[in-house]
Amino acid sequence: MSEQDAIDAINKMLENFNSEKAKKTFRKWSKTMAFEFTDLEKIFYTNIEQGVPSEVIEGVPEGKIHVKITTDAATWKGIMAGEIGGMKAYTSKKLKVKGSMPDLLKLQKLMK
Amino acid sequence: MVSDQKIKVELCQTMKELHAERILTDIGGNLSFRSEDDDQFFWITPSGLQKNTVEPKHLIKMSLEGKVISEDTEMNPSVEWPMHLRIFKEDEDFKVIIHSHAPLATAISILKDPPEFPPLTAELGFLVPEIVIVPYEQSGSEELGEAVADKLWDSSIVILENHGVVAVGGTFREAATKTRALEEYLKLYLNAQQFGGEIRRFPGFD
Repeated sequence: MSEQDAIDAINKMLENFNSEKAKKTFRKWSKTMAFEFTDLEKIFYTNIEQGVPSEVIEGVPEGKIHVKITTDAATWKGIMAGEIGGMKAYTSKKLKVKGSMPDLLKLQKLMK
Repeated sequence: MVSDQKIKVELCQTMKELHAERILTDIGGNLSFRSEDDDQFFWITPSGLQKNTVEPKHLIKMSLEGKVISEDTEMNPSVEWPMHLRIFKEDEDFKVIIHSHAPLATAISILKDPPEFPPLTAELGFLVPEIVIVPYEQSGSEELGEAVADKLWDSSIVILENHGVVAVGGTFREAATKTRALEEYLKLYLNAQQFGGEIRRFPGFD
């Protein structure tokens, strides 16, 4: 699984912020979300301002990370392709998440 | 597709259960659902009936334009129908609405400066991720519906200042479970406080 596959899967999630429902759900959301891919040994992040995500940036953000997803590229691609359930990946420890419960429950709706 | 008749029975059963649990009072609370037969209509409980006596025949059909469609009833829809209508207009996934006067949540609703409620357990967190309070608007007003509809994007269960609770969901079971979970959350918080000492926040997924 390539780095570009992982980035494409992140971008697929970020595109989901554009739906009308997501715009309302995340209208007050200004947070940094990071993705760590253990197999690639790389971190990417996006800064979300009032529900609008920035482009994907490689590296560790300077400020606070509000939500962090740690997984491998294949699992992440599978989740965003709808082939792997996010909850199943979490319970089988293929995916780790860090963040508050309200944030994670809202984001779960975009992970498909 | 589930028929409206079946959902009417579920509504009345839920109403009786919540009344027995004192989450609905004799005069406080109203329930509604979007029609499965035609989503431009909804059914709502009547005004003036004791909550544990409501039967399917008492429910009133209304249009999303606010017109009463039912002709075979002398009852009036709940005075809160403008709020229900506004919520149904907000999103098609809001299929059922339970407006209750759940006692602990209603007690919170009358506090001038309610405390910040920490997340307590994973189970409650899934059902009530955060306590969301809707600023006061007059009961029965369109403004109340507008304010509630806006906050329902933050949480599918909200507390209405100086009033009560609104929960939305896909089914009455789902909305009732959230309503009960909110009460359980607040009861747990109160119980923990009685032991004294600092409450440890549920760490979330750290």
